[in-house]
Amino acid sequence: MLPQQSTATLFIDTGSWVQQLHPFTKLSYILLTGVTVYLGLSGWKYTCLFLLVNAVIVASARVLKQTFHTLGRIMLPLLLFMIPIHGFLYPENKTVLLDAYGMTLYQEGLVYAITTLSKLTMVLMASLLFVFTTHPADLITALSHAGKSPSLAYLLGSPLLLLAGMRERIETIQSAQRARGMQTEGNVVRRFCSLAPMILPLVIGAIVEVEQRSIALEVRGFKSTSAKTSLRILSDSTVQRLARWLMLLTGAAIILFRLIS
Amino acid sequence: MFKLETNLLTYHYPESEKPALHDISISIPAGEFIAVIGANNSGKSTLCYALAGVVPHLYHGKMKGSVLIDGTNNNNRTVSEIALHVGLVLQVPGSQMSGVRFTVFEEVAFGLENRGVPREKMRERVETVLALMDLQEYATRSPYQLSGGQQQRLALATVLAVDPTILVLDEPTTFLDPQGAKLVFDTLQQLQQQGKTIVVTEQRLDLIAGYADRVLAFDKGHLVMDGRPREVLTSPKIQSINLNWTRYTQVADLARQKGLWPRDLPLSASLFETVDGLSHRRKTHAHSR
Repeated sequence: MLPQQSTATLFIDTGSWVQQLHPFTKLSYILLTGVTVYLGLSGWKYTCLFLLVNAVIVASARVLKQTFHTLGRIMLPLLLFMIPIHGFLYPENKTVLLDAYGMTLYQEGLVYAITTLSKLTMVLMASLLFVFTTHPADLITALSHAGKSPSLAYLLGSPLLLLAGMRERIETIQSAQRARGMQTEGNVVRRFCSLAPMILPLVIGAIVEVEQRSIALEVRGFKSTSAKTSLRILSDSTVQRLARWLMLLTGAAIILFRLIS
Repeated sequence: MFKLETNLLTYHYPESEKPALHDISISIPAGEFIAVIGANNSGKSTLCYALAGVVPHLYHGKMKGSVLIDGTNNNNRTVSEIALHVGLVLQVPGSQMSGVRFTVFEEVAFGLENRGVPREKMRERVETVLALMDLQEYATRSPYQLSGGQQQRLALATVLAVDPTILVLDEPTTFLDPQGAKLVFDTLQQLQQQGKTIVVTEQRLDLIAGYADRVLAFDKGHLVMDGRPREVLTSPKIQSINLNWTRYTQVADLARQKGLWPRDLPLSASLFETVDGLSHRRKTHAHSR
């Protein structure tokens, strides 16, 4: 049963085949992508192939628009920053591509920047695929099923919900401070000055809430030593388990090969 | 059905010189509806925590005396074990939420998951509790998108899911309007009728007069009164512990001053008793004429 409106999560309920995959299968894919991109195959052909494969998977997961939108917001500032820095100042620059107005753009720096950015794009793409297609509750359930500590699952899951509560509390405090005549909007100095009267009640409130929540968790059997069960059903299969092992073994083989060579 | 007892219970919070509870001895038979009243810092919440084992298990501090559930000392059980018998509902309903469940349905199931209840049984239990709390239509909603009253009912539902015999509620109506508060008390009464023992702390004396079987009044950690609602709520001592008589008691007192209240009848604490007292006087008056 999925919520009508998720709170502070990036999950998009599309019902695609990627969404139906076990969270660990998708995590294994991120790991394999990272290892392959940074330690395995290199070169333009492979980079393009990987980007294409990732784009096809993202499209079939029906999160293409959201993925490219987020990628754009992350990668564009990096692109604007890295291309000139490396194009002009990369230590191994030799081949001049452009020389104008006293500034020289080199091929080596440009290639290095584009390679770095494309590697990052591929890892980010795989990660965004995971974030957009995995409900946090499924990840928490998967961790619990795997016998991981409930505290670890809590650590991963709680910020997604509690951040929304904190945002609400900030708004309440801001309204209260405004009602008492404090200027919370305007120039940077004014905004900065309004931070302290907001942070103090926020922190104190959070401490009290942590204390209350730890009581609530305890009385609801969170630390109970009996074997836990789960309401959510995670789809898994022999094929997926095999795929996970295959991806992990491939990743390990690439690392080993890299270490030996 | 479990009996709840405290024997000479004294508790100091860590680094506190004054005890939050001082020599409290009470015995609560199964199925009773107990209201605990008192001003702020009178020891009401600490009593709730002690009954649920939160003190001294989680707060530590210094405790003397004992809390017994059906003869077993709380000190010999973990908070999680005690929670199977005593369900604690905290004052702020948002704090009762696990923080790791994304729907109302999952939130109610959280306690059952922790106790290893099989999935099908869990679903049945959650559906029953949601129906009881009138929350079925919100089952797929986030717990954080409910109104104050709905969240309060959800907090109660999370506790009811594991079916404890005793329910301890720490000021459950603090954030509710009068109508919402009445709804919570109606639900508690319904649960009492199903055999649950109810212990609820409350500052709205008007409200408890119509529901409680017995009232315990606390002042600075001491139990100062223990009796039937009419007896405790109409006592002049109420004002000395920084509480006010209910508006019904005030009406009855004024009626007595004006000679409109029967001399042999104690003051009233509820609407029903007030109407009864005033009509009793009219009947006597008409009869003598």
